[in-house]
Amino acid sequence: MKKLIIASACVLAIAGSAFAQGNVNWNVLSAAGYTSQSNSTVYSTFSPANAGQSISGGAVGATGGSAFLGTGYYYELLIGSVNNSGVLPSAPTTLAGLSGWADSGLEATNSNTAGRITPINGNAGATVSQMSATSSNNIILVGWSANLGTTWSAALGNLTTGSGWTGTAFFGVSNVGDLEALSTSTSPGSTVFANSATAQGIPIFSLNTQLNEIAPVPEPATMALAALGGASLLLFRRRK
Amino acid sequence: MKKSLLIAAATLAVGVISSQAGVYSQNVVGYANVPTAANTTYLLSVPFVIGASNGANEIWPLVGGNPTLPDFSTLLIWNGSGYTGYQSDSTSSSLWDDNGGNPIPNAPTLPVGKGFFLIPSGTVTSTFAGAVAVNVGTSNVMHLTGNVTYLVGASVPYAGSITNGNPATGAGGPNLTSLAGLPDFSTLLIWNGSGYTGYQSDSTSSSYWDDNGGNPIPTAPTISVGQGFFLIPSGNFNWTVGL
Repeated sequence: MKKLIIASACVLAIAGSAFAQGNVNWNVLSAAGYTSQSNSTVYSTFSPANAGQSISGGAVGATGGSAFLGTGYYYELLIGSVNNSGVLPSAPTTLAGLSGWADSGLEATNSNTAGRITPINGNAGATVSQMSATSSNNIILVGWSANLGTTWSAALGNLTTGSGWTGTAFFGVSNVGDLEALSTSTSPGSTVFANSATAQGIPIFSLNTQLNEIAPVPEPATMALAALGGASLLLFRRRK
Repeated sequence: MKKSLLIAAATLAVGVISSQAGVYSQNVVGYANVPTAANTTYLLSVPFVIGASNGANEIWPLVGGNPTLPDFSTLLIWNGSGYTGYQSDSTSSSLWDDNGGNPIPNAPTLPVGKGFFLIPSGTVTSTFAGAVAVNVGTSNVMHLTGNVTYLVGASVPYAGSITNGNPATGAGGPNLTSLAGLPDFSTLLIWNGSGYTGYQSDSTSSSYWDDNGGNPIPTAPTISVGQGFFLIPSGNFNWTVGL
């Protein structure tokens, strides 16, 4: 009997998790809760080659608090673990730290107004399969420059390999929010970005979110050439 | 987690009657104070004629150069199947941006009787001040098509039962009963802060309304001044609101 009860509980838990879904407001992404910029003078901590190192030559990207003019950036809402504690964890700072965050399927791009974002396929009652109306999940917004890819999976793939793009690439992560979804799909879902708590929890509050430059990992051939160059230089100096 | 809608009772402030040669008109003006908490979702409607067009920039104007609605508040307007979103922005010439934060030249309009969602980015009390849309003793009629979803509000400043209102006698109210032509099994959805409480019209119910399961309820649903709601008539309906 005890086994039966445990088995039933497991089935219920699995069923509950499988059918957990809720709605968020992915229509108006409030600039009171989220803006971003790309004027950091250090490489991203996600950068496999130069994490946290200063960028020679000073600031990259635009200067000031507003950086994004025109098109060229993408954003994705990621869903973390269930968190009913009301205490927000720190945002991930490494690629390994992103491994536990699931893709919500909700994407945004940059607005024509500097620093602001606009939803792709906006929907005030957008469904998120990983969230529910009965418990809170951690949430973050990741942002990247378009040369890393137009989808989160493509960008993550390039970040992981440290290659696959041309030009200067940027990547960043917002502060963490912790939110319940709502159960109705035809009405406004939970507010995702805001400057204070809501009835559904703590939305993402992350003004001037920094997207730092990502340095590509040098390819073996490039490294070999660099080593050859160094050796040549050494030889040249000795002969002198 | 449910939040009750906090809407203050309105005061119909002044009634001024004036007459001109052969023209009889009444100017009924008033205001409603609607307190709203930061980052909370409200379903509202503006029960007064405000400015030239009931533009959102006229409803929430700049006063002394300062916005009367906190910047980056969200406005969601029902378009028949979803919502068109806007953000308030005191740096925009219209005081409003589109949903991506891009300034737009003309603010969205919120005509009397139209419902909308407001999510203020800060706690604020909105004061809707203007003229009542209709004259005493006349009516305000909207032609609603059957089985279409409308996001509406009472077109007069009114708090109380949705069944009250008699245009013939001048009694105020939204007048939503079968006696006024509302087809049976029409649906009323009232926002409760996180979802809807549903009702069905029923001419055989003592209150003219059932709950969402078709069970007669003793008292019809009520609304507050400036409250919006969804109405899905089960057939064509000429909605006559009494002042």
